[in-house]
Amino acid sequence: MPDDVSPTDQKTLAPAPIMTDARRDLAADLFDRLREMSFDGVGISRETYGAGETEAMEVIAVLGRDQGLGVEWDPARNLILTLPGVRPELPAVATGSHLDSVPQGGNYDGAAGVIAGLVALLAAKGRSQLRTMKLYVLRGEESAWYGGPCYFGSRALFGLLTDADFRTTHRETRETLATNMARCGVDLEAVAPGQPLLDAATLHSWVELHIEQGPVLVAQEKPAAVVTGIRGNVRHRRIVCRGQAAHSGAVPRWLRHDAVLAMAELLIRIDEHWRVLLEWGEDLVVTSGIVETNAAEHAVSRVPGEVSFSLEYRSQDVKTLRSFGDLLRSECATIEAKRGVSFDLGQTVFNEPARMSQPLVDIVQASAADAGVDLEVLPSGAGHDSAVFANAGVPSTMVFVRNQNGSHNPDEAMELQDFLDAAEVLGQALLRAADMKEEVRP
Amino acid sequence: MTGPRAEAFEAARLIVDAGAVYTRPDGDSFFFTSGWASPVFIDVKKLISIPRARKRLIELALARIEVAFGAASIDQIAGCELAGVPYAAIIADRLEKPLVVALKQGRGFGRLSRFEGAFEPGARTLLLDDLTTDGRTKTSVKNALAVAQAEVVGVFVLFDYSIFPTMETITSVATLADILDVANEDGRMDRRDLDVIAAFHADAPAWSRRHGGIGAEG
Repeated sequence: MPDDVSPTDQKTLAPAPIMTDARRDLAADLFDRLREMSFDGVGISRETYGAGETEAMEVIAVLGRDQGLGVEWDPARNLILTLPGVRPELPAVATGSHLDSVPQGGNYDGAAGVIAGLVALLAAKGRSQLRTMKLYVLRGEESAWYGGPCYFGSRALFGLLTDADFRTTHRETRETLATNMARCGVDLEAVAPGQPLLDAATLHSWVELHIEQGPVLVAQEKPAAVVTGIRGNVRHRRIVCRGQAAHSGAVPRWLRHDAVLAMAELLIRIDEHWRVLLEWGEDLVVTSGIVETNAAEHAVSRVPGEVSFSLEYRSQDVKTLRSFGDLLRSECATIEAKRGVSFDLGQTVFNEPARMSQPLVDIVQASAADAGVDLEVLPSGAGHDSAVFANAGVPSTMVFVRNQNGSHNPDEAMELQDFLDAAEVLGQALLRAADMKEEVRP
Repeated sequence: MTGPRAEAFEAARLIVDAGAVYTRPDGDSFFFTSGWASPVFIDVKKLISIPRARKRLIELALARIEVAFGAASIDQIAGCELAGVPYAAIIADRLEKPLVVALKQGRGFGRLSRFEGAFEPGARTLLLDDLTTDGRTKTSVKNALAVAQAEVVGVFVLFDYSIFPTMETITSVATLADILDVANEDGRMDRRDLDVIAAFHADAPAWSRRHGGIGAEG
């Protein structure tokens, strides 16, 4: 591979390993420190734009500074570590991930990518690669804290935050995101809608390492994967179905406008559509994770007049998302007419699916082959910051690490050896990209 | 070729000619209700809308039923909701037998809550559907027939993938193996598609598991 020739002409042998004993110990130590800092008694909690997130990011900042990397906090309070290349005017090679977690989450979701990226930059020190390398430690990737909207840190980079994002409220405190951003030192004027902090053209490529949050690598018995695409999603944080409250004994069936039965019918209809769409080979997952009747007025003996519920659906295909949205609205209309209720779909959040860069996927595969790591090829069911980078026009891909017991729970279990294998692949791929003279296709 | 093999081959050809064989060797698999991932999907329902093919398929089914069970030993036909119903209706009519419709889910309660139509306890019943994957729906309907005190003579489908582990003994007109034979002979199907389907046919549970579907242990 001609791109692989180092400018210093010293690299005729196999590339030096990313994962030396010292760097393995550093990674293991960092995982331990993060766990200690963020353990809430059950799992790991680092709130989006919260103190625990800042504290974890500061650990990385201090370490970067001690190791001689450039350290910078951008106006959205993302942390950026930089290792200058021989030609700093060329678009930079970037990696990174997030350091927030879901409530009572696991220790590896996000943190694995930050630590792997840090190790890659440290391994590149003194190697004089062509391009500058950057590690983005991103804020606010998780949707759990603010009820649907997410990827705040990466979206701020590209000026993609909306007014609705700033107004969205915390799941417990009901404070707005803007309030908590300000508390973390975010310059709210600088991150206003439509104001990018970063020109996508200044990045050559983006490769993020992340734990796999589905079960495929465990089933395939492979330590790592390269990602070919990322599912997009549509989220309704709170759909309200309104009918008419009534006495549960006195009112006959045909005179009722039962909001809960209307919602149940809608969900069953949606489940049936989902079943058939899978049979026809569409990519789709549907979830209603929150269902609530109003505790102030609900009762065993009261026909429910109102119910609210969340609805989220994901697909790799934007057409499927649109068609399913149409289907949802038409089913609502049918049930409204049949049962005399109304559905208010409320705020809709749309995250676009993303395609990964084939040349970057090839580079990751070649790096894995060199490192002797058996790599699976997968689409990502879960959403990631990488989708934001890809849709902003930065050629992107991801490396997944095998992880037992799923994610977004305290039982995430990533084997250190799998992490080391995947981090080796990430590091080698970043070094290859950093030595490339030409740009790559998105 | 004569006998059941020739009939199976002819039925498979009707299904292929109707454009009812969909393949997807790459990308997202088809996912059946029970969670099996498959590179091939057979839409036998399509033949409802093609009178000539439908007529011939029914004749082949009648011949197979006669050989496998004997019309004289059948008191009634139970068609499975939904796609089994039109075929069951035509076959019941041709055999001059009573017809009942087996519902996927019960409505209300009582011996016949899973059925439209009515029958006496002990009725010798042939359960009929358009196709079967792993037979879970058939097991469910057989349980309903047991509750309704019917005597199940057999389970009959027009098309059986005949590759998934199943608890049921299924009699069919054609299987995926027959579709593969026809496609191989015609040379109309893409070679790569055929190779993928053949690999799937050889070990469907393993293929399903590799493509994100359930495996043999379900």
